[in-house]
Amino acid sequence: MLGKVKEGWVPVLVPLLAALLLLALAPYSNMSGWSVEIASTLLGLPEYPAVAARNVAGETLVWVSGMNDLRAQLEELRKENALLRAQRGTAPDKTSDGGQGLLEARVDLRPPSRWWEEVRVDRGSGDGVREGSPALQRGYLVGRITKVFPSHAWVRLVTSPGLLVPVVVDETRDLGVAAGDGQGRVVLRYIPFETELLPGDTLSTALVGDDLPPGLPLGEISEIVEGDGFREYVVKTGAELSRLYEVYILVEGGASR
Amino acid sequence: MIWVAAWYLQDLAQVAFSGISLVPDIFLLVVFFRLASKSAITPGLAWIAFAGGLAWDLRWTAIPGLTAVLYVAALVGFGWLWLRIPDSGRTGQLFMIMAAGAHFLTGLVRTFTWGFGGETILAMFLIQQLLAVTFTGVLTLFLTTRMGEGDVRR
Repeated sequence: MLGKVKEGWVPVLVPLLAALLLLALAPYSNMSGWSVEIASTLLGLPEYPAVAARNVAGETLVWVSGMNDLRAQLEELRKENALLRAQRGTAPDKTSDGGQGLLEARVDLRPPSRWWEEVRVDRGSGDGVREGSPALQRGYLVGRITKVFPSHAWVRLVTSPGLLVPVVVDETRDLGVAAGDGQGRVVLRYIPFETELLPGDTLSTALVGDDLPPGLPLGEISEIVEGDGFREYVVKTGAELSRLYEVYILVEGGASR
Repeated sequence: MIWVAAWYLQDLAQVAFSGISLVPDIFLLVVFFRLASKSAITPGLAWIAFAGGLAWDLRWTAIPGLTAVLYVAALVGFGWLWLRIPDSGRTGQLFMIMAAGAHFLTGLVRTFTWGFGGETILAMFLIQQLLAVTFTGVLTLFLTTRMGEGDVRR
């Protein structure tokens, strides 16, 4: 059986006609303005739960967004703090909650055959150590992590010929590359002949490096060797590489010990 | 009472999501539901649709008659189609398709009336329709349950 239209279609269409009539008269009546006002006033109280929910949701969103901003700022400040500590040579705090920081590591192996090339430390990937991270002593660059294992890692020393460190001369802003000779010496290269640096000029890592953060102090020029058409600058490292018992590794997150 | 509750729910949703999304016409969907569950269209139901639409206009659109026309026209169109379908064909799935379709057309007309102002309004319109489909699904569940219990007049 088909459904019914009780009392026929005509009475059903009356409301439609009434609505059409109202709509047709709408531009000529001035009821639209005050009707909304009256309806808003009357519904003010019943609508209050929705208004309150909307306000709470809005405030929560603002709060969450503010928290995210603060967290990002905190992270930035942590990084800055760790770098500043490194530059000052201050004994740092260990990282504790995943932020960037300095992780203390003990040198547990230094093979005599590669004495000026690399050392092994007792921290590994489980502690947040990553390949390429810089290792410091008293705030001065010691070397860079080259191999990482779960519980230990190898640090290539700045005296190794295999580690080329882009540096900047702090006094003149000249850029060069510091490289070891494998015999305990570090030499500054690629400084133009016409540029004359002085003993005591200090060197820091340069922004042009790929992994090392800029501004880490390396040492100072100790000796200038004049040659035929070249000039070689011998660098005295700030880190005491013959007394290397512990280092600090700049890590980013994941430090657990 | 159900009409007041449906209208109030729609009004609360409009207050809560105003500026974020268009809200589905919950009141209209409940009118469809009532029509389908009684399998009859009465002048009373048409006047209820008129009253709900007019109240909405007075509260929100400030164009008295706009929503009232849409609601009553949608009811008449939906009822005309629904009552032409034989008993055996009036299933929950069909109700869902027809109700969501009528709601879509109503929303489309209203959105065009206000002006299709770019991607934002289009996104809001789509969200409105998705919410309407969800709500229609709930009503369909009620309807099929009542059909199963033989509570629906065919």
